Amino acid sequence: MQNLWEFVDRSGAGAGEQPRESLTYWKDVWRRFRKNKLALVGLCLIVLILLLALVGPVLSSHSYSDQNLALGNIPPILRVTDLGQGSKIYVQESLYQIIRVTDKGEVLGPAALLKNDTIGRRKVFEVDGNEVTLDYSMVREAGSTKKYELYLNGSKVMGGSKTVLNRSNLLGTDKLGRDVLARTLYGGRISLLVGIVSALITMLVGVAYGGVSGYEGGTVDNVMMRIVDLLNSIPLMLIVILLMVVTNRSDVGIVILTISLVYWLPMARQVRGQVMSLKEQEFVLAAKALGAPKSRIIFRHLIPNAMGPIVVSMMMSIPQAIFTESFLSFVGLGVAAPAASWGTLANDALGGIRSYPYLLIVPSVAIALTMFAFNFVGDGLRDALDPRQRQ
Amino acid sequence: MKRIGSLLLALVLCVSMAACGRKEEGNGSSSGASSAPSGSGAPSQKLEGTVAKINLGADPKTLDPSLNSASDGNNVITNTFEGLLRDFGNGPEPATAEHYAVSDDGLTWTFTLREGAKWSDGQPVRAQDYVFSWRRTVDPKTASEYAYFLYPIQNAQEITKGEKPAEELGVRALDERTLEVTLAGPCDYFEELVCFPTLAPEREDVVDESGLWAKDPKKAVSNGPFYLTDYKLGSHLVLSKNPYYWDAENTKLDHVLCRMIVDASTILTSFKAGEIQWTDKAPTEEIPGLIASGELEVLPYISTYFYVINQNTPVEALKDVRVRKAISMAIDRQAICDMVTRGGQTPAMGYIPPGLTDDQGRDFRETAGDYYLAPTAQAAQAQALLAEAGYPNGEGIGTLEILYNTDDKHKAIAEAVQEMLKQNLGLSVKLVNQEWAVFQDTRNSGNYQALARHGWTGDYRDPQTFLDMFMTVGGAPNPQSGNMYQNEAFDALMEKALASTGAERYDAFYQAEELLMEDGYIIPIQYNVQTVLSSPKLTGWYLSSIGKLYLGRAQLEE
Repeated sequence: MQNLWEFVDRSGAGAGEQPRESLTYWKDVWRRFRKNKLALVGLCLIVLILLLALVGPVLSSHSYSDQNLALGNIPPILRVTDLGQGSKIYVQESLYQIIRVTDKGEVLGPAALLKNDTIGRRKVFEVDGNEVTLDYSMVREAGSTKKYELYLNGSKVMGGSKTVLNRSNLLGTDKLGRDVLARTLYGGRISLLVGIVSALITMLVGVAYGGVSGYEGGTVDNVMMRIVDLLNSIPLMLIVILLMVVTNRSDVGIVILTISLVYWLPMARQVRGQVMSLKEQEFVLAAKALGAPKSRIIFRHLIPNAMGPIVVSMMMSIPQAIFTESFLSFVGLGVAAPAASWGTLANDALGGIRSYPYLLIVPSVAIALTMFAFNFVGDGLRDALDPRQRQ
Repeated sequence: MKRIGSLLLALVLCVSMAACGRKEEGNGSSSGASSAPSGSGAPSQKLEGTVAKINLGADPKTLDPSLNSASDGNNVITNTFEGLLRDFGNGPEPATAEHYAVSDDGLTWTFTLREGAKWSDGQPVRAQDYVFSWRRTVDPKTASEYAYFLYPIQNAQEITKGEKPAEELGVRALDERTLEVTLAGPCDYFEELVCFPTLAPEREDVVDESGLWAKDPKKAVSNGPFYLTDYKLGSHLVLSKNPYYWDAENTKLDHVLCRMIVDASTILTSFKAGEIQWTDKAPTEEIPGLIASGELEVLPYISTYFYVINQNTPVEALKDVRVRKAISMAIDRQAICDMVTRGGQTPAMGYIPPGLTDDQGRDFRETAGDYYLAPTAQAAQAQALLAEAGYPNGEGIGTLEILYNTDDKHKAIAEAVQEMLKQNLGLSVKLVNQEWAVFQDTRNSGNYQALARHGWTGDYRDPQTFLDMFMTVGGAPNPQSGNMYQNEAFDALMEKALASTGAERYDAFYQAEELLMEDGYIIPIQYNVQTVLSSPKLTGWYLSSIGKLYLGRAQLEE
């Protein structure tokens, strides 16, 4: 009888399928995260901002607190007027002052004021041995577009002006003559510290609390959630004031504590909701049937499945914490001047928004970029962490 | 959460607004709380005739003359009520009182009311209305913060302390048009005093205890050029011409719309858009440009910006007068005025601001001199003083704290002072800021480590309004002093001044100020000015050097 069965050639075993690289959960997350270009950009941005905040103040030649009152409110972009004989000046329009600068945009110092005629609306300065008159009498005339005119030793300055970047202070100076770049870099440290640390605390506390509450359900859930309601009804301000009185100090630590105390509540609610809907699913039943303990079910099965919304709301809470910090500094909590966070820098700049918009733009851009970055990363992480998208 | 956050912000703002004011300068509801309530509302009915639109700032806590102690309330009351006399910069002149006589000993004043003086409901103003109002002010049940204003009047102090009934106040109506006032002692500034809004008349039949009547357009009755016709909480109020006012023919405005915008930046935007025609607040950063363009006027102000050193300080070094003086001398006041505040302020080397004259017509400030201070920092002398006191280069003093209330301007000045003390004396200084209401409490109870911001604006044009808060009250320091100041010699000088008149009185004031300055518990920084943005169309308004706006003679060109 013919043998219909043949022994296969062993050498060709498994040729059809490559053994799939074994992937841990986090490796898998990273693989999917990498595919999201926007999220990668966000991550790079966060790393860059963190590096700048950490290393920037060390590298900067300016200190965040050194003042130079005579050179306050100098913008990052200067319009340099050539007086001839190598004298270059920059006219501070809103203050009617003359600053001596170089061709390249280096700030040399203020020009000495010789005469201030407030009635005739003229100021006379000395620049390199010449008398420069700043005549601003035309601003009173209706419909005048010119804000001032310059006279060198009595004759009108016709020389051209050109726009250069401020080399001495790349982002200009604030009203006390402090370097805006140094202050923004330094402010980043505080803002990011507050944002990231309080978001982490918020997440840890909120997840643990919400997870237990949601999984246990029933009376435990009821009691735990009523405690959340109770805490939620206490205004932020009250907590702030109480903490200030109890601890009798006001620094970044207290700000982080305050923000965490308030923001873990919505996080706990959200986690509870997620866990409640997930715990009815079959895989939980399976885990139970296999005899997995409660903590394992909550932290290995339920929380990873709820990670998407958790991570997104954590990422969102970072910029929110940065904003709250600036509000708290308004009531006197937070870093004491001259130290500043992005929020306080923006707050301080608000009054001069017409004349010195750059003072507001710089910290605002910093906050906006950070916010974008964290949002992109949060979005990317949500997709990457979702076990349902696992392939 | 965000919504809760903004709600809280609004709440805090309300609290800070309600608490601000008083005569103390610098409530600073600063830009930090910008976008919250601002006067966006328009009046509910269309106003006919000429309407001047001004900005009042925060919603006044009360418009009741007896209860009000804030400057925004004063700006309204000055226009709605009229005292016996009024002062538009030429000294006190007859107002509701046609003429008055003083007895030879200066203790009995007899005022005769004008025949045509009427309330806004047409009833005549009677002497009894003044008696009622003044008794109400000193009555401890009313709890008026300005009850002490009436202390020159016989028995006023005893009544406020609850020792005598209000009926014993030294004021009586001889008939409907004659008011007789008996003083407790000679009072050089009594004419100035009766111009003050607190001493305006009130109607017994409309007044209620809480003072709510004055904010209710249906109930409010007043005797000034205007009366209240509309009021919307936190948005605006409308004053309309009082047809029964005795000088109504000179009142040119039909209505005054008073908006309540708090944020300086918003105020400037509204002004540029023509929504308001008059305001006394503009963003600090924009002031130099506004002065140059002529839009902003700088007017004199009887007001001083200064720092106080806590007399109960735990810092051992500050108990040495040389250290206190060194700190004061190390501050470059000229630089603060020219480069930090930039609003026309002048460096302060003494406590009492310029603009007050003594019995011989000399300016008090000029006569008293600059003591040990100069406009710019005297670093070398300050260092020498510090070394002499045993703290060369500030060693051994430790970190000093400067307490200030949250506001851009206060912060900028504090930061500048911090740097000056570091550069000139090597001192390490920490800045602590608090919200206005908390700050007042902390400072006035002496609950701060070393230095605190202070500011004072005169209530009347007399040095007394600046000096009496440093006198002890019943053996304890006056909370308003802010520095827990206690000095028997100072008290003795002030007692002497209060009991005398003329040259003797001013001599005592000169000595008192010198003593105060030599003690070094106050560090004058600058003399304040008032900055007014006014539309060229609105003319004839008058802003007194103690900060009261009068619109009774204002005109609007179309």
